Amino acid sequence: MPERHSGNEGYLAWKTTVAARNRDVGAWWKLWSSARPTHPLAVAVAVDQASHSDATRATTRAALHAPASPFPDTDERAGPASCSAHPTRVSHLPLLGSSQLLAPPALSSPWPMAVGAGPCLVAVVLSAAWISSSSSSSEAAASSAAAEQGGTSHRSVNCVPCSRTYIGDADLDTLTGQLARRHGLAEMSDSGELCKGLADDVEVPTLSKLHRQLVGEGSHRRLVYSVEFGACQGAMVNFLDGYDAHLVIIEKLPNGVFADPFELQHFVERKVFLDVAVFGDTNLELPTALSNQSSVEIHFDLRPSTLTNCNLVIDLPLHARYPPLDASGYATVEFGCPNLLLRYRKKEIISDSCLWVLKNCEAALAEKAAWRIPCGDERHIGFVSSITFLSALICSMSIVLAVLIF
Amino acid sequence: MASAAAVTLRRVVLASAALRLALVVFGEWQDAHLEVRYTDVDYLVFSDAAASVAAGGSPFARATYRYSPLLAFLLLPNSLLHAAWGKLLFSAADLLVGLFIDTILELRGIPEKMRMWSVIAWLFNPFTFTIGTRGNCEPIVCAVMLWILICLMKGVSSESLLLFGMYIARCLDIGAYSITILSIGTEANFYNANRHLVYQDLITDLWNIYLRRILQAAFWYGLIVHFRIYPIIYAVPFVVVLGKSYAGPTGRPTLTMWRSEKHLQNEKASQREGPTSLLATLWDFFSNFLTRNAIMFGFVSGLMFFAWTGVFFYLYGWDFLNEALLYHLTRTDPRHNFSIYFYHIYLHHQQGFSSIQRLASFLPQLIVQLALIARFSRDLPICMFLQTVAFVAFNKVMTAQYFVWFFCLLPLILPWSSMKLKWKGLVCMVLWMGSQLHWLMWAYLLEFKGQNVFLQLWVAGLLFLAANIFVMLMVMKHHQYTPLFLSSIKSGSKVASKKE
Repeated sequence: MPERHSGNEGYLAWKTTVAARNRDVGAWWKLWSSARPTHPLAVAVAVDQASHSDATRATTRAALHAPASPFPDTDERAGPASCSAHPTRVSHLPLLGSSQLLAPPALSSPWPMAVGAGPCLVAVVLSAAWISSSSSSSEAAASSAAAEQGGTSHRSVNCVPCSRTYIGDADLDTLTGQLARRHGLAEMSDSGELCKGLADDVEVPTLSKLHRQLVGEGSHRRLVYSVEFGACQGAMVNFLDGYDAHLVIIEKLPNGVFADPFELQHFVERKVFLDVAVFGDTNLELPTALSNQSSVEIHFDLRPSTLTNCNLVIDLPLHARYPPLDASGYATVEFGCPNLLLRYRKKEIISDSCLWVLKNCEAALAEKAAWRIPCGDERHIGFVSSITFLSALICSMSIVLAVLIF
Repeated sequence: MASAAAVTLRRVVLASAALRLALVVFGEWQDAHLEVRYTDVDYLVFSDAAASVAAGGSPFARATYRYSPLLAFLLLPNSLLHAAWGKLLFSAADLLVGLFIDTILELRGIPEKMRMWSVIAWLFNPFTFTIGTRGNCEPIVCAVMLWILICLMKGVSSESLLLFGMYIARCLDIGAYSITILSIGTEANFYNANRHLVYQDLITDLWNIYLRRILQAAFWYGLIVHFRIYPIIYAVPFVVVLGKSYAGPTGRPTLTMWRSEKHLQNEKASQREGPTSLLATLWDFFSNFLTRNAIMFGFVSGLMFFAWTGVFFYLYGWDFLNEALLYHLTRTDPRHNFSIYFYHIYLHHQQGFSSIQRLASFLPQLIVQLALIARFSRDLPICMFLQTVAFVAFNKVMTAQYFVWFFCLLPLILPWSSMKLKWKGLVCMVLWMGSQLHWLMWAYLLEFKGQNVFLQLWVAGLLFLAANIFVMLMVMKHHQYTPLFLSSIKSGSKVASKKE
């Protein structure tokens, strides 16, 4: 609880509390809605992102780069280039590459600085080093191995245990400050050979077309994905006969936009989506300058009945936050590239070695989605404030006068 | 005819109950089948918080739950019985408000026909029945406020304090007795055999004390201030009303009765209390705080407020304090709402607010409240009404659900207003609703069409404030100032006592 300082100091203190509360609220939402396992390395990298301090970031990155770099997106890709067909390696941490999708707002949200992060980071680095130096059956190794091979064959395949519900939930554990691994290493890991084995002997449908459009007007719009699978009729039906398949869309939302988790839950209840989760800042009320990034993960169940001509249309309702002030009167929010994955497993499941196979759907996204949101103008500050207070004063005086006269 | 009137009131209540039930059912259907929901977002927040409590957690686990945990407890049957329980509860509170309005007006001698219209004005007001059926908790607050008013009006026995003291003494006595027998041990059997009688006496005493209306009023007042902070503005008028001239020699207050229009006009000139010296007025004002009733009321309601706050702080910690109390006191929401301050807050949200700005936004509110209290506190209904309108109008955040707070008090003041529906009343209504619709139009353009109309929206907010002030001034001008309770001190009172 911040004490009531005066002026900016107090305001920044309040913002710290608010940001802390955001994280807590986000953590509570996640804890309350479901409990999910965590990848410790994911935790490590997310802490890195949170601390916003170059020195610590360098340290962590160095530690992580030592074994193998499973997170190529850590390199700062300059802005959203068009989402090309070059396969982004399967990252379980979609938030990582989304460093600056927007021009940073005037005041970036304050994260707790190294005071608390220091000892945490040491522990993280140590655990990261230990995990990565352990047996080759680590998930990161599997993905990196696959990635190195995948560079040539354009196929990134990864496996996760069935108990892990969501893929993009990595950063949430910083919010709860829990570095402890929720599950034993055994659950996290799977042998690369088994994973590749699962992936190789199956003809998995590929995306032939992907369109994404921002539809609607005003502060509440929908992101519409139009997905088409190639080689549909025969191969797809055969595939779906033998496998449970879900399309997983991970959309990193820029700072000025948010998804309402409760509204999305409504979608799940009406069986539009199989499952939905929102990670990161889910505060519905704060303006952009006081908010953090978030991401949405949608699971869509692929069944022959839901695929009409192998075309899929998915609606994601989004809402705009109040943007930072701008003289032009409008702020533009641009969306990054979504991550589309196909998650499948054989229908007859042997319980102790149940694995979801994740395949990255490489698809070119030609259009960029941009949202124009009206915002306030700094030049108005002077006269708006003075007239507001003046009119309040005039109205109160008129009431006092009436009280004396009537 | 008394029987015809009773039937009519019952019919009105039954009809409005049926209407609300139909709306709740329709709301459930609309939620399930249409894209746009009928239920308010707040209701979902309450339900989720109640579900969280039912699962053994804290209601503040639900984001944006900014109310007392009592509300989550009230809505526990939402997860146990049916999701529409809360809406039915709020609609029932709505109907209760109608009944209370009828009671209050009857206590003050309003004829049946006029009462019927007042009750209809509340129960069939489209704003009112949508608010309860959409799941807003405001009807409960209104019901409790009116009940407090009824308790104050129905009176109190001057022996309340004595009874309270006797009760405390009895508890101490029993405590001492229990300790004695436990240590001595000889009379244990006798005590055990008669224990139920002892408890029965205690409970009867407690009930008798509760029936002493003033304590009941204080109990509910402490509770409602904990529930919704805004009723704190009524604290000073309540204390003033409970002052020296509250209860006559019998211990029960005498209410001033309503008289019809022509009497009002004849006596309008003589209504103002004569001018007295400043010192006498101040002494008069402050000596109200020193009466037995006022002290008891203040003490018990303060006790209630801190007790509830303490209990929930113990249960839920700082979460509760931050979300339920402090958030409302320091709330600066930059999103657009009716208040004139919203654009100012949005423009400054990146820079922060200086103390001067905070003070400047608080000062008009304070001045207006003090002025209204000083002038109107003895005429409690008009005081409460004007204070609520002013509070809502000058607040930093103003949403449509706050309007119910003064809508429920409106039927209580209309019989004393010389403003007719044509044309002054109609002008007030049209201006108020018109400026609201004007604001809503710009808000629609901003939110649903994405046009930059911030300045126009802000001006619409200023116009709405002007409309609110205009309505307040009109009401003040045409109101017949009538103290709620007959002062037994003033002799040859200008206000007529009980008539037929």
